Amino acid sequence: MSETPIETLSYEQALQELEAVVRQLEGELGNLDASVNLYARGQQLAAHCAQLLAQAEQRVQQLGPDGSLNPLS
Amino acid sequence: MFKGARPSLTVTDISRLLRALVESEGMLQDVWIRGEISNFSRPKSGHWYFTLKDHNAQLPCVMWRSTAELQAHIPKDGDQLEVHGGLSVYEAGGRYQLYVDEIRTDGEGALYQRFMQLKAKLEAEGLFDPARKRALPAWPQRIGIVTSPSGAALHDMLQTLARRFPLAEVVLAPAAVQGEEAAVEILRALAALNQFVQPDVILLARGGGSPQDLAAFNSERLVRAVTASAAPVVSGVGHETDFTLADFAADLRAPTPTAAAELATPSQADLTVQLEAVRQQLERYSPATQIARQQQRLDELALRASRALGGRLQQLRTSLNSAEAHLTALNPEAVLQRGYAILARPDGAVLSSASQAQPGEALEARLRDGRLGLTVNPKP
Repeated sequence: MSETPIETLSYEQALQELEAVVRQLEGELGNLDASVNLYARGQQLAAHCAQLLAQAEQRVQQLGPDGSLNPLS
Repeated sequence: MFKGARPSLTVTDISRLLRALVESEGMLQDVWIRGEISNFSRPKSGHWYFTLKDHNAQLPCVMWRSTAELQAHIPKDGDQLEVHGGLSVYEAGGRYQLYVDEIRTDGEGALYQRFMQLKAKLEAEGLFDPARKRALPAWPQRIGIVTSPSGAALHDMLQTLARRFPLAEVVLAPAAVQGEEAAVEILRALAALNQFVQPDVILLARGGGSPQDLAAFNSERLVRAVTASAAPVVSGVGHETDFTLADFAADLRAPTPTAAAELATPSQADLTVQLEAVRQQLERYSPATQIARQQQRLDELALRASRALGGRLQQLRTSLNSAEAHLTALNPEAVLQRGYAILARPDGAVLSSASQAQPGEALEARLRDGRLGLTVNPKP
């Protein structure tokens, strides 16, 4: 599993990884250490998702004819 | 001086006669008439009254409330319109009038003809083929919008997107959505979004309007641009009842701009529920739960081990007992104990058959507590 810094993940990426973590945990038998690490990663991912959801503020930009992006006036 | 001998008719009689005549003429009951609206009035009753006129004549018209309520556009004086309905005589007013059941803008008939021809042509090319439609991304990160920067449609869409899925970044590519320049500006906006922004999905929208207002969305070039767009396109043009060619070409047709924004995004509420579900799944693997589960496994193993061990001992004990019993049963001493005797020759060989002994032979009998010397008598 990739260990991308969690704060750089988009909501979708974080949720996908979280789901992968759960699947892995479901398949994990016996290796407690590995499970604990996976669980910790999962918790961070879930918290990141929740934070993104809570903090999301719509960002709207307007595309200029030259391809420039400016805040919508 | 009398004009014939026929009795006179009442005004009511003649009005009824005229009315029957007019209403029995099929051509007058299903007719499109074009002209200019004047004296339009819309009283509290909800019925519409107006006069349709041209240079030489005028025709009083009525549209009953039940039909008027369904009209997307309310006409005004000066509008050039085509109205459909049936003629009749309004006896109380002493005039004939048209009972209107459908209104379209003048020229709409021809416009509709062109629309249908172009639709058939593009359809034949396969541009509206359902197999061409692309699935929308479940999680658009960038949403492109092509619409007028000043219209209500933009406001509705931004509000809907902010409420449902504020995680997505929104990029507006402004374009006039009616008038001469509309078709070209919409094409440019689509192209610019695909080139500079590469959104995950594009909303192509405008609010309701007359068929002429929506004309840009029926242009052949726009249809081709929509089907060629790198990003899937959701159209939300006009009202629920308006279908434009751009709608047929879009990957998904939404009935309104607001609906387009809804169809293109997951809702924040759904996301929260989904995240909570995954979190609960995760909690089943928390260290505390895991340790408890490991503990339970240990307990189970210990129990199984002790059961297994206990069982094995019991098994050993049973087989030992039966071996002992067997051994005891086989011990010849045990037989002597029960009062039997063993016959043997002096050399120790045991006799098991009468034929082994000859008359006069000396034998030995072994008993529980000692031995006896015996001599075999002749057979009786």
